[in-house]
Amino acid sequence: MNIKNNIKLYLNTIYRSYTMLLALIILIALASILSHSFLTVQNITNIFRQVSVMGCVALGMSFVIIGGSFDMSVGSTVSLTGILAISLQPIVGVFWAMAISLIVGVSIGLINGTIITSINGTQGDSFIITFGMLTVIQAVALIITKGFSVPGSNNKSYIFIGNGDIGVIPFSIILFVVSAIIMQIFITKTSHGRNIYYMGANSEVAKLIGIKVKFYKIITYMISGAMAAVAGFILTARVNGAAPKAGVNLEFEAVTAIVVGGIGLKGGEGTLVNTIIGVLIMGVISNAMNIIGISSQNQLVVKGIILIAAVCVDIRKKGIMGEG
Amino acid sequence: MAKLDNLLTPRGDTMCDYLLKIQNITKKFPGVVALDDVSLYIKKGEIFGIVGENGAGKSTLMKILYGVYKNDSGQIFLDGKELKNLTPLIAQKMGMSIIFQEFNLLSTLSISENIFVNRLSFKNRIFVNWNVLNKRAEELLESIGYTMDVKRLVSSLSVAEKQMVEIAKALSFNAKLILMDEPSATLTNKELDKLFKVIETLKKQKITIIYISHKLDEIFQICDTTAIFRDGKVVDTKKTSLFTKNEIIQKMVGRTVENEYPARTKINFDEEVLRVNNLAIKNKINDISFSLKKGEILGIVGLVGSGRTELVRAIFGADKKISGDIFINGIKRSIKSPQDAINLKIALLTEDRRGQGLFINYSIEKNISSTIIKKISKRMFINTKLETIIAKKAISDLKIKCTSEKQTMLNLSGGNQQKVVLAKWLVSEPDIFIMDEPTRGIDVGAKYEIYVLMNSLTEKGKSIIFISSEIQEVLAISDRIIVLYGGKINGEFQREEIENDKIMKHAIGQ
Repeated sequence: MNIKNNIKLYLNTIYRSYTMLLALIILIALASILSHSFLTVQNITNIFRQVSVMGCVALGMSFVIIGGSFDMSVGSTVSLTGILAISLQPIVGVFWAMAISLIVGVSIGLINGTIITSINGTQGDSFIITFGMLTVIQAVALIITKGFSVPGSNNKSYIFIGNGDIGVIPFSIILFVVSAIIMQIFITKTSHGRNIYYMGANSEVAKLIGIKVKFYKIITYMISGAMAAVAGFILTARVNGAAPKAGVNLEFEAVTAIVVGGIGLKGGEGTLVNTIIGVLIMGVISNAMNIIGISSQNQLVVKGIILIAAVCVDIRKKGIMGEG
Repeated sequence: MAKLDNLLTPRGDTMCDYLLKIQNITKKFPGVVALDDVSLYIKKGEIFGIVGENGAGKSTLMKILYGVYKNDSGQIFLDGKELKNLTPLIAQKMGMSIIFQEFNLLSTLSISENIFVNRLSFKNRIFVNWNVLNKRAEELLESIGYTMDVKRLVSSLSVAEKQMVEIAKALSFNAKLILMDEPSATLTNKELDKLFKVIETLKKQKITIIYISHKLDEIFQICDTTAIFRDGKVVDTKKTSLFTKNEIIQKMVGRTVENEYPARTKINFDEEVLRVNNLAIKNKINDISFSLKKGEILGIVGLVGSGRTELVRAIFGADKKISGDIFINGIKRSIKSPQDAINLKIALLTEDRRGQGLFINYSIEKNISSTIIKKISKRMFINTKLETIIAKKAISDLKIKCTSEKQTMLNLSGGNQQKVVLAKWLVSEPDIFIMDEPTRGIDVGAKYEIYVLMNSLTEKGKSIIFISSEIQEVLAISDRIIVLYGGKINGEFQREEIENDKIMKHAIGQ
C-alpha cells in the first residue's frame, strides 16, 4: 500500500513536471514538419541566441515570482542598463561601464524590494509598484538618450558577449545556461533558496518561524535586477547599439514564458526548469512563426493569447487540486 | 418499493417521516475510502447530531450534500425527491444550506448584501430597492431573535454575529435543512447559549438541523438523534438520550478511553524561565505582568477579544508592543521579531493552523524542517537525507497518520496537521512553548495525545503557556491559570483552587 502510494505520488510529480516538456517536444516536431529549415544546427543555435535575452530576464523574474511577488519593471531595466553599458564605455572603460550598469540593475531591485516590504505590500501591490517603476525607468532611459539610439561599442570583448562563439556554441547561450544552472542550484538546494520558497508559499508562516521575509524579498528583486542587466549586456552587444526602447515588452514575454513553463503565479511553486522549458517553448513558437512568415503584429496576438491561456490553465490546475 | 424502504429503516418509522434520506453513499479518494456505504435517515424538524474524529468522513458527507464532491455510489433523497447532479446553488434552491466553519461571507459588503447575495434585486428589476432589501434582512434576523443594523459591514462583526448572518442567509432561501459544521468551534459559552436558543427557534419553525461537533456536551444538550462516524462508516445511530458519553467516545475512537485527560503529577516549580513585566499593546493589552516557571503549564483563559492571542504574539515579537520588559531566565531581553524569540528558544503555535501555522501545499517533511533549515544545511546546502530522517522520526514519534513524509499537508486531517505543527517546533528544541488553541477542531483521540505530549515536555523541563477557549481542558491540564478580561489580568489561580464557575466569572469580568 505504502509503496504503491509512493509510486503514484512519484508518477504524479513526473506527470506534472513533464507535461510542458512534452508540449515542447510536440511543438518542435510540428515545426520540423512545417519547415525543413527548422531542425538545422544553425536554426537551433539561432533560437537559443534569440531567447537568451528574454531567458535571462525570465530567470531573474522567476525568483521574484517563486518568492510570491511580481517584477514588471525588468523591461525598461534592460533598456537602461544596456544604454549605460554602451554609453559609459568611452568614458570609464568596458569593465566599469558594465560594473556600473550591473549596480544600477541591482539598485533598481533594491528600491523595488524596499518599497514593497516597507508597506508590507501584497502580491497585487508589487505588480502595481513595479509597473510604476517600469514607467519611471523607461522615462529615465529616454531622458538620458534624448530619445535617440546610442551607437555601438567598438570593444571586441563586449561584442563577444552577444556575437562570439566558444567552439560552435554562442557565448550568450553559455551565459544563459550557466546562470540558469547556478540559480537553479541556489534556489532548490540551499537554505536561502528554501526560505524563498517558504516565503512565497505563505509569508506569514515564514515570518513566524523566524525567516527574514523582508530580507529575502529584497534579495529576489535584486537578483531580478541583476539578471535584467545581464540581459541588457547580451542585447546591446548582439545588435551592437542601445536603444531607449530596446527592452519594451520583455517583462511581458518573460511572464508568459514563466507561466507557460508552469511556475504557479501564487508563489512558492515550480523551479527554473519550468522557466527554461517555458522560454524554449516561446522561442520555438516565435522562430516557427518567423519561418512561416507571420507578421510581428500577428505574432504579438498569438503570444498574448498564449499568456491568457496559460494563466487560465494555471488557475484551473489549482482548482482541481482543490483546497481539500 | 415502499416496503423495501421500510426494511431499510433502522428506527422502525415509516419512510415519509424523513426529510433527508441518505442511502448507501460511498466515496473513494486515491488511497482512502472516505465514505463507506453510509446511510442516514433524518426526520423533519429534528436536530440531528453527527460526531466523529477528524477524517471520519463527516466533512466529505457535507461536501457531497452540497454538491462540492460527487458520490461514487448511493442515493440522496430530500422530501422524497432524489437529488442528482447537485451544485451548491441547486442545493440552496432545494432548501438545503450549509454553514461552514470558515464562513462564506463577503467581508467588505453589508449584512443585507451578504444575506441576499446573488439576489439583490427582486422581481428581475435592474435597480436594487435598498429599503425593501434591508427590511427583509432585518425581518430574517428578527425571526431568530437578533436585532442588528443590517447596513453594517460583515468585517466588523464578531464570529457569533457572522454565524447569525449565515443562518439568516439560509432562511432567505426558505431552507428546510440547515447543516452546521462545528458551529461552536470559535464561540464563547455565552455565545453558544445564544446559538442554542436560535437552533431551538429554528426547530419550532420545523426546520431540520444537522449539527456536527466534537463537543459531546453540546450533542447531549441539543441533539434529538446522534450518528457516530468512524473511518468513513456510521457505527451507530440512535436517540441521543440512549447514549452515554463514554459509549460515544468509545465508538468514535474504536477503543476504550479511560480518561479524557491524562493525570498531571504535581511538582514544585521554583526556577523562573519567563517573566513579563508591565506589557502593553495599543488598544489591546494594559499593563500585564506574569511569570512562567520551569516545567510548568500556565493556562491562559479569556474570551475571544480578551487580548490573549495579542498578548502571546507580542511576547513572541510578532506584533509591536508599546511598553513592557521581558526576562528570560532572569536576564532582560529585547524581543523585536520572531527571530529574536526563536533565538531565545521560544516557540509559538498559532491558533490559525492553516493561515499561520503550515505551508498547506507543501509536504509534511518540508513543514517539519522549516524551523531548522539552517541547522540542517552545511555551507548553505540542505542535507536532504538528514531532512528526511528527521521528518520520519517525528512522524513515528508523534504517530502522524500519513502515507509518507512526502505527502502534502492538504490531505491530512486536522489532528494530524496539528501534530505536524507541533513536530516542526519540537525539532527546533525550544524551552518555552506558547500554544494558542492547540486542540481546536481536532478529535478526542488526537487531543489526548497532545495532552500527553505536553506532560512529557514539562517532565523534560520545558515550560508551556497554554491558551484555550475550552475551559474544561485548561482546568484539567494547567498547573496555574491566569484569567484575562478586557486586556487585563482579572485573577490568578493555583491548581488546587481551580474551580470552573469561579474562573468563568472572572473571564466575563466579574
